[in-house]
Amino acid sequence: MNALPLNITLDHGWRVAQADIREGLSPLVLVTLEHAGAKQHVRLDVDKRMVVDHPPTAISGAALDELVEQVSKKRREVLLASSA
Amino acid sequence: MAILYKGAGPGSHWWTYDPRLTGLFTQPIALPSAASAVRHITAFSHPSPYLSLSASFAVARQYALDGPKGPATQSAPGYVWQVDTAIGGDVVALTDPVALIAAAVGPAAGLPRLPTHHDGEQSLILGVASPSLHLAELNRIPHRPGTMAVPAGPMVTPEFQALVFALRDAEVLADRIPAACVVHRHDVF
Repeated sequence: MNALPLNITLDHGWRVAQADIREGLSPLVLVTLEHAGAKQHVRLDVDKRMVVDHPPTAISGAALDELVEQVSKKRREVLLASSA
Repeated sequence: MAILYKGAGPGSHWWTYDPRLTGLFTQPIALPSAASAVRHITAFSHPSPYLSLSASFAVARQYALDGPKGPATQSAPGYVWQVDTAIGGDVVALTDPVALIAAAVGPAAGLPRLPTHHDGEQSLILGVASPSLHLAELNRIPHRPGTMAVPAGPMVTPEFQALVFALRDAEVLADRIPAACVVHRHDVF
């Protein structure tokens, strides 16, 4: 598993601290969200382009869409680099 | 009779609730159909008339390695529930999504193109099986006959995508699995 540090700012003080990226074709990516010291994990399905678990309600749909897009791009970079 | 598996990452529903007590079930708001199977597999699985299982322990394990409580660890493992549909005496209705979707498409004769077809290169299937990893394959403009040449990416329908995802995940659909059929919990991390 690749623990990829990230610093993506979301709505209302939430940010993405880390994405855990596993090898293979599994579409799930675990991201760690942080807000004022509190952490919350949510899984993203990067193939279906959706958040699997309930995200904090303060984060807008547009921010989640952008989150999925950015994490998907990072995952692609990491997996392609590791297979090169 | 079938041996099937259901992955549950730490903190997910079937990690929190023991299906050996309740069975596995879904809360459907739509009737089972090929269209709802396609939606379940390609778009969203809640709400859905279907519950996903896999014939492959390896696939179910992948889905059990992460959850809302974080990555599976030795002290907080993910669970792979093993289901044996021959146990318990209840009739368990299983649906092969590939057969369901293919049957709904109808016969090939008379149609210009089936929803399960694509017009891309052979490598397109990599892009469909893992769009986030092989995105370029989805955007690669395929060779087409001269008079039909259009600078557009390959045609990929939801039906085709659902078939590939279902095959990738050795997926089996059900609406409920009785508690007696959930025979074992494998801890994975």
